[in-house]
Amino acid sequence: MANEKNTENQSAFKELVLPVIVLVAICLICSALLAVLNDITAPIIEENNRAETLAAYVSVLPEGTITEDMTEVDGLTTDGVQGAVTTANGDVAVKAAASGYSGKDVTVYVAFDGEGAVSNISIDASTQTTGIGSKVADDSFASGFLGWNGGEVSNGSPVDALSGATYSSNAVFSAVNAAIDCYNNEIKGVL
Amino acid sequence: MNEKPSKWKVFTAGIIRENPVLRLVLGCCSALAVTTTVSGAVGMGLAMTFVLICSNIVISALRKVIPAKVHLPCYIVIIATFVTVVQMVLQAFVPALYKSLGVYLALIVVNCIILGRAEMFACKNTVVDSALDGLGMGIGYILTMLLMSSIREIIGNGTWLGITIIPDSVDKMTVMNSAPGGFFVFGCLMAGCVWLERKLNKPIERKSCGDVMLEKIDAAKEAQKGGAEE
Amino acid sequence: MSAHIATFATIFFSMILVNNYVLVQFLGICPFLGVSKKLDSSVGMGAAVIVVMVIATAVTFPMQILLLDKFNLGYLQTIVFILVIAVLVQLIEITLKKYVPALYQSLGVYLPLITTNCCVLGVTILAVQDYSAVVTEFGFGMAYAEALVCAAGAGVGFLVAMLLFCGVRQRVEASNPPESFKGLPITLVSAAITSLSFMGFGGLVENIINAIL
Repeated sequence: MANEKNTENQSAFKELVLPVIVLVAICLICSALLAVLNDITAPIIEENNRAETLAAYVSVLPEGTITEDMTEVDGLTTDGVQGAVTTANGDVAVKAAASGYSGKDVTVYVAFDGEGAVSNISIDASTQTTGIGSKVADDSFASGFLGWNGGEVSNGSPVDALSGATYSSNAVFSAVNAAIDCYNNEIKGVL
Repeated sequence: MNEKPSKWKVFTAGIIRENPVLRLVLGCCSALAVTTTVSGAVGMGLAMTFVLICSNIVISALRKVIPAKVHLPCYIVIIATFVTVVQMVLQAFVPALYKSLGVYLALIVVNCIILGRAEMFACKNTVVDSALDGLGMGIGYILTMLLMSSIREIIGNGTWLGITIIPDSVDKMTVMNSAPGGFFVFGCLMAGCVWLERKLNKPIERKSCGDVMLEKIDAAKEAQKGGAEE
Repeated sequence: MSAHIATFATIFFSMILVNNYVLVQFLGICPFLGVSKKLDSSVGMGAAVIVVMVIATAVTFPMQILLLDKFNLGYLQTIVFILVIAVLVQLIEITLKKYVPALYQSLGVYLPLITTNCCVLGVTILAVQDYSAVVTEFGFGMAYAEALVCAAGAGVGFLVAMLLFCGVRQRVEASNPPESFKGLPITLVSAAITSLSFMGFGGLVENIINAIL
């Protein structure tokens, strides 16, 4: 009798408790493993992201600018603006984004010279449809903004929206506008 | 299955005989989604192979420890761990690839190739065999992805691995880069595969995981009906 | 208020027509190719997916924002989400069985098959990706509502794709394609054409909603 009960208990243990213990153990081991790996990779990932943003600023600022020359501007409030840097020479670069086709962001980096004219621009449209929306990143479209200092941009001034890529083009226009607004209102007068 | 297949056979099975994508029709989601560029497709293939090998090894090593009742959650946790490892490593060291794969990287967890191999192979075989099976399946997957993405990138974008093949002056079929092109190329490749099989007189019956699903549904409905009549 | 309705409507219809999970984003291809053979199964599967998607997002979204992000545990996202979905599906099954047996009769068959369906995990991850920025901008409530609308739209989109394709398939099955194309290949090619028809919706939804409201 006692023996029977014992096996019954044992089978209950096997049926109910053991699975839970094994599952919990596996979960714990896995989480611990990931926590360790996260500790190793997190700083590298952060460094990557920073380096990427800085490199993008450098790419639009006048040649010869190095990352050490730039000071980041904090506390920007313009909608769509994600950051800005200034250099000792009075050049400014602003990072702004606006949602394009299917709600995915198009990011622009706009550099302004001392007079407030657009001196360079780089457009990241990797989220847009390859071969259609992504064409707004091409030089032929982007170079149209160079030298612009006439306030708000829109379709036709200074560049025409790409046919077939209206959404991506409009996203570039709004992002550039955000950058210009931010420059005029928050950076130009203050610095 | 009386005879134990040799190690070599286990390894090569996944490459042609049991090619996961074209013959077993597993893992179609990622095969369709990330094959717009060759680099993305190969990156995805490598990530998948890594997860496949690691999860196969761990699952087959733990096959006597994991109780049958909770085997699915256990497998999922193990697979998800390796997927997260891949995510972290890619994000840290190959951020461009990480960005281009997007959500499909995380979705390796529910990719039927990995869960399928865990349930069909790893839980019944030794660690070495499971590792070889994972490697073979992975290589088969990479090769198929390479083929599909080459077609799509060359026709759709005029480039191969970023190298211009078709001059800019020729208009590309950009539709190949978007969803319809994916379905179309996949369909045509599979038709080619069927044609080859017929030529070699070795036709097989293709059963996608969706077909298996439908069978399960039908079976369950039958059972329900039977229960209701009682 | 009407601005909110416009946002919700845009999200909902975009998820169905422009970002359709099956036909545009390739999520949930397996059930799409298999189950769409039969109309009643397509409807059942679609309905079950809608229910699970909305409930899963309702649980995982606050979990990510209020728990994982707060304690810097974002890296556990994949594991936590897939486990939560697995548990939720079981819970839904048990609850339906106990309290709404009529619904269980029609959906119960499909629920266990949904756990490892990539469109459910996909919608939870994408909702966090797309709407966590809204939290800082408009507060948690608004972001939560948008994520839920997105999940519902994704589910309905899945159902619509299944139903449409079910119809297409019946025509295809009656036709006589070249020998090598019979079966799955011709199914995939017809999926390509169905998906092509969805490309025409790009940009349409936002303009229509803006024009109406």
